[in-house]
Amino acid sequence: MGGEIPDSPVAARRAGRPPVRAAVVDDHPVARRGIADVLAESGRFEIAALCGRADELTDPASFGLIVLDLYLDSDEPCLQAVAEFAKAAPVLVISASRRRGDALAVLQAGAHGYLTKDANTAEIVNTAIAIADGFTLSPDLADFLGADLADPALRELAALAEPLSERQHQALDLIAQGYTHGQAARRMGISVTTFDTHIKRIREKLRLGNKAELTRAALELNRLRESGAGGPP
Amino acid sequence: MTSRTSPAPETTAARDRMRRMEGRAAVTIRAGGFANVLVGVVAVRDGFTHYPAAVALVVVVAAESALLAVRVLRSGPISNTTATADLVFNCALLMVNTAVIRPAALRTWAYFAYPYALSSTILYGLAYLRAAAAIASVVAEAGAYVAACAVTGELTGDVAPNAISFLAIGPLTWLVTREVRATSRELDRARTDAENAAAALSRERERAYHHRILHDRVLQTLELLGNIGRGVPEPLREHIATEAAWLRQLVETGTEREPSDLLDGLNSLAATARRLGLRVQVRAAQLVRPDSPHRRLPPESVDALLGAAGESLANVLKHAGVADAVLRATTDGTTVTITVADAGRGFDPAAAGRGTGIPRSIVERMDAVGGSASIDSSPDLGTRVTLSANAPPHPAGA
Repeated sequence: MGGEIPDSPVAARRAGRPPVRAAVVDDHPVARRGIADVLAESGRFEIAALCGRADELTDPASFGLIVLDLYLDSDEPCLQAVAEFAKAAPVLVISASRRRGDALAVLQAGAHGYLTKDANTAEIVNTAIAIADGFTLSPDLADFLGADLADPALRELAALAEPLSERQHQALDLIAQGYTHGQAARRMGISVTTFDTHIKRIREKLRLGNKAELTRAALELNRLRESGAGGPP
Repeated sequence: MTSRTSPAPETTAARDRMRRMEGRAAVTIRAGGFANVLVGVVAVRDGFTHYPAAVALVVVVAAESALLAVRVLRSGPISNTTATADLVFNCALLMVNTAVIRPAALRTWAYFAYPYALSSTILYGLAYLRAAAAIASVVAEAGAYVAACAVTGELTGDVAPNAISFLAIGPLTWLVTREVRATSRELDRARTDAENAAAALSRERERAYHHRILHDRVLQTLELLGNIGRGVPEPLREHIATEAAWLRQLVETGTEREPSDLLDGLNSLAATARRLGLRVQVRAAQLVRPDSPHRRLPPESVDALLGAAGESLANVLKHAGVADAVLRATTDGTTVTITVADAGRGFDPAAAGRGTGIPRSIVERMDAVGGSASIDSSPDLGTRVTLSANAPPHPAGA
């Protein structure tokens, strides 16, 4: 598995271009190594930095992709680092555990992609290529967002100023089903520009929903789930 | 971590305490009432016309008091029946007492029936559950008192205030008792809720603890080995990936997979397809919740969904001409929907000949379990098969 993906619609557009400079930030050395190897072997990426901590990564703007572990040796998601890196480069968040609200929280922080560590090689490579290529919402993130938005508690906490429209949900579904913007647009009978606008609006709506509130809510939900963290071993 | 304990039975501690208090109050009131009787028969001897008869009456009153006390001590607070029997006895006593005293002694301790009956109104306030019964009991006693005065020919000015004394105490006791009983019920309910919440919290803590240690250590390593493990032989890697998927489900939802779990099935369909050269991504974040409706799907629906999805994947392999497909599972809370999507060459359903449309077997399979199947394809846009099945509602009481 892994390796070349000649027939992937996203990969095809990258063929012939120079490899993308990528950084991998993960506190787990085996994971760091593994993800880096998978990306490097795809031939689309050149691993320019490998870090165990977020503050070890300097000059984030010099990368075409930053892969970041959400739980860096901590029970709290490193949303600050996501937000900081996302201003400079596309960020793919990889998380060991998928917790309620994580997808919404990383999207609000500005991430473009989100995967859990049960993702296989092809998934990692495809997602990495997609977001390095300008996808602002990876298929997995779209799927996880769908789950977070279907969660009544989260929906309430997210306090969206405006819920997603029917068409925006449809767009989110098509992304999660693995279609490119072009294919999805034609499936919806709209132009690619309009489809891009839908995705942009989804991001805006979800980010506009009281950001501080949601980040806090996500943290609280996680803390609730992890309330045994301080307990005896 | 998969243990499910039913909620604790509701505690009755506060209500039990209230019942004990009521019983003690009844015995104390009766003892006090009888003390009044004794004072009367000992201290005001010259008020009686037939002293031996008065003593006999006191003995009867003592027997009645003792009977009531024993009953309360043995079976708890006074029942409505006991209270009514006591009421009848007191009314009779109010009348009979006048027969053994001089009329002028009606306003002395010789008329011991008065304090005895008056204190009993507290018992009625405790015993009767209905306001009407509590009020009727005191009205009856007041009536008996007035009647006794009338028979004796002593309807003087103080009869009215004396009679009114009967009316106040019982209903007031009834009101206070009702409030305290309601409070104790609420207290019990709150305590039960608190106990259940504490139990749930401790289960959640335990689960969260397992979640943390397994997720962040074992699971992460297993998944790395299973999914991107360098140098791990392929069959072993697949085995590890399967075990890791099982563990992930356990730590994320706290429940083991059922033998015919839909998620499990989708993952093994994807694994099979991958072996045949089709890279299938399973996206089922919406089903990874403890209350996901796919857990309530009957086995035949799961089989139909998996069978139809498998057939759809086989069609992608045969016709689509792509190496990637997505198996996505979503739910609106009652319906479980699987989409099998590819971005391959697709076809025009209107122009499609036999063998290219959605196979009848897929439609029939879904129809047979009350589900549905639809296809949506056009040239160059790929094909998407949508399969839906309804989950039965939550079993009652679950």
